[in-house]
Amino acid sequence: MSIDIRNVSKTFGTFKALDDVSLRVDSGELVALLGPSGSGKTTLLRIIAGLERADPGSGEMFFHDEDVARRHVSARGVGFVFQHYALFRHMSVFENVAFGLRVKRRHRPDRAFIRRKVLELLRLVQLEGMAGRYPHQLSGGQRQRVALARALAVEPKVLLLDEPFGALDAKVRKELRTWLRRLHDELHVTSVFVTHDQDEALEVANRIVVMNRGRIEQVGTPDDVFHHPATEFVMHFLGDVNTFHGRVNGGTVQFSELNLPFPENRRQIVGDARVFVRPYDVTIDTKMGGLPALEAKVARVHSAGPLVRVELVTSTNQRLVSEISQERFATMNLAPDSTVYVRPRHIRVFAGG
Amino acid sequence: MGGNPASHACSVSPWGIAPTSESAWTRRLLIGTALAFLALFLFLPLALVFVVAFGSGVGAYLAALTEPDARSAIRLTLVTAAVAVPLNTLFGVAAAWAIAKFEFRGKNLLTTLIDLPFAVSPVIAGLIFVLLFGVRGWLGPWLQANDIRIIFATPGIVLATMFVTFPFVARELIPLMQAQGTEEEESALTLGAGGFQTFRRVTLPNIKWGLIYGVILCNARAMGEFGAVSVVSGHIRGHTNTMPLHIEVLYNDYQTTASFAVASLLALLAVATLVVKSVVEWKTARNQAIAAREVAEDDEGSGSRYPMDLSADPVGVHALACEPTLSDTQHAEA
Repeated sequence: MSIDIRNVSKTFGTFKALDDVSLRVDSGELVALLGPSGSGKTTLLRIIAGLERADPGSGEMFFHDEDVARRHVSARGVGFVFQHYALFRHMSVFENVAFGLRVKRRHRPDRAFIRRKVLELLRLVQLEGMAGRYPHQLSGGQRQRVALARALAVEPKVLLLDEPFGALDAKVRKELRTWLRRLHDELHVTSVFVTHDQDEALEVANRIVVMNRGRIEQVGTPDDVFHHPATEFVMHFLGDVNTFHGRVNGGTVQFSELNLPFPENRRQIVGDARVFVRPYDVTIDTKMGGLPALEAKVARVHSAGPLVRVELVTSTNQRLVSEISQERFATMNLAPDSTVYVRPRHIRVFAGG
Repeated sequence: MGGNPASHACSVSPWGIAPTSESAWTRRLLIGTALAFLALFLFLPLALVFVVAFGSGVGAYLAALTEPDARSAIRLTLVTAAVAVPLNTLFGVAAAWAIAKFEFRGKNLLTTLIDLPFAVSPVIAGLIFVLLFGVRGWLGPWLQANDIRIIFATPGIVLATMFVTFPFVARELIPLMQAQGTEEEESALTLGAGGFQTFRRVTLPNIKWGLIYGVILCNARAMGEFGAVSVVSGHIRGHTNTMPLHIEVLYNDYQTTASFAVASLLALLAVATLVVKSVVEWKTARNQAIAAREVAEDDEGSGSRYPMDLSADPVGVHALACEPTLSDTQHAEA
C-alpha cells in the first residue's frame, strides 16, 4: 500500500510544524523520517496515522489512491508503534496483542483464531512464552516488540513507528534495528519510521527523508543522502564535518591558504562559498610531499575507537578534525604540538559566506 | 510495595550514615511525635465516640438508632448520597477526561471552577441556593407559583450536597489521568477501537483505583456534610434532617448518648471507607496475578512455561513506580 502526501501543512498556534510537505512512499518500502527535534517528523507521522489533522484545506493524503485525509484514525488501518511503547499496562502481553482483534466491530474473529494469531505473532517477535506477563515485567526491548506485535495483529496496510528505539540503551537499540530490518524483509508492509539518529536511518531504511524546520531537505537512498547531500543542513546532520569559508574562482576553490581545483561546479557557484570536508576525508602526512597541503599542529589525539580522531589547528587558527585508521596512526608517531600536513581528499562546496 | 532498593548501601558517608538519612534518635523522635499526634487527635476522639455511644448500654444505643426521627435522618442521608455521588462521579470523570486529555480554551478556568467548592465556606454554598431558590430568591416566586419545593426540602439538600462534594472525584482523577497521558488511548484508536471502547477497555481500567477512592471520599463527605445542608434544610425533624443535623439537634437537647450513637454510624463510615480502600487495592493486585497465571497455563501447549517470578526480574521493580498510586495525603472526613 503506497502513501501519497501532497502539500500538507500543520500549525500549532503560531508554530509552523509542517510547511507544505509532499512525499510519496511506495508500496513495501521502509522509509525513515530523519531530523532534529522540532523538525516536524513526528507531526508528519501522526498526520499519516490520523492522530493529528493537517491544517484545514492544506493538503491531501492517499493510501493507494484512496483519499484518507478525512478518515478517522480507527478506520485508517495503520499500525502505530510509540516511542514509549504505550502498552496497555493493565493487560497481559496476550491481551495487548489481541486487543485490535477483540475490538473489531465487523468480522470479529473467534477465540480460537485470536489465540492462534496472537501466539503466532509472539513467535514472530521472539516472545514465545511471555504471553502471561504484564508490561511492567518486561524489559524495554521486549516491550517494544510487544508493541510491534500488537500493531501487526490488525494486519495494517501501513506500519508507522515513532522513534521506536529512542528509549532503549545503545546495545539493545542496535540489535533491535537490525532485527526490524530483517522483519521488514519478511513482511514487506509499507513502513515509515521516525528517528533523529542518522546511523539508525542509514542502516535500516530503503530511503531517507531528511527534515528540518517543517520542510523536507532531501529524499534519497542512504547512499544518496550520505555521499551527495543536497543542502548544508543534510551535510551537517549526517555526521561530523569540518567547515571552511572560501571563495570559488573559475575552476578553483580557495580556502584556508589552499587552492584546489573545482571542475565539477554543477551549481554554478561564484564568489563566497562554504567548503565542507568529512573528518575521514582529511588525510595527514608528516612530510610536505608534492600536492597542496595545509600546515597544522596536533592539538589532541583520541585513539580509543575503530578510528583515531586527531584534532588539529592550522597556522591561521582554523580548527579541524581528521579521522585516520589505527594502522596509519601507528606509523606516524603523532603527539600534541607535532607539525603535520593536512590534505582534504574530498570536498563539498555550497554557495554563501 | 517496592520503593527503590538500590542506592542505600552504596552512598555511605564517612560516619556510616547515608547523607539523606537521620540518626536513630531523630528518627524515633519524628515517628513518635507523629504517632502521638495521631493518637491524640484522631484515634482518641474516634474511640470516645463509641465509648459515649455505648455508655448507657446496647439497648439505649439501638433505641437511639431506631426511633422514627433517627430512621428518617438515616434515610434522607442515604437518599442524598445515592443521588449526589453517582452524578458527581459522572461529572468528575467527564471533567477530568476533558482537562487531562484535551487542549481547549478556558481549560484553566474550568480547573479553577472545579476547586471552587473547596475554597468557598459550606455555609456560603448553602446560602447561594437559598438566594436562588428561596421564597424571596430569584426563582422563588416562580417555584412557588408552580408548587415546587427546593429549599427546606430534599431537592435543596441534594443540590447543596452536590455542590460541596463535586470536586472530589475530579480532583482525584485529574493528576492521575495527566500522568498517564494519552498514548494508550491513541494506541487503542489506531488498533481500530471506537471512542467508547477505548474508554471502557483502556481508560477506565487505568483510572479504576483513583476513581473508586474518589467516589469513597465523595460519599463520605456527602453523608457527613453539615454546613451547607444546615442552611437549606430548615431542620424539620423527621423530614429534612440528615444524620449530621440530627446529631446536632440531639446534642443541643442534652441527649448525649443518642447523639453519639448516631455519630458512631458516621464514624463507622470512615472506618468502612478505609476498609473498602484496602480491599480494593488487595483485590486488584490479586486479580492481576490470577489472570497472569491463567494465561500462562493456557500457553503450556505452545511451548515453554514461564513461572511468574517477579523477584528475579529486575525490570519489574522499577516498573512498579509507574503504577497509579493513590495519594495518601487525603483523609476521609467523618
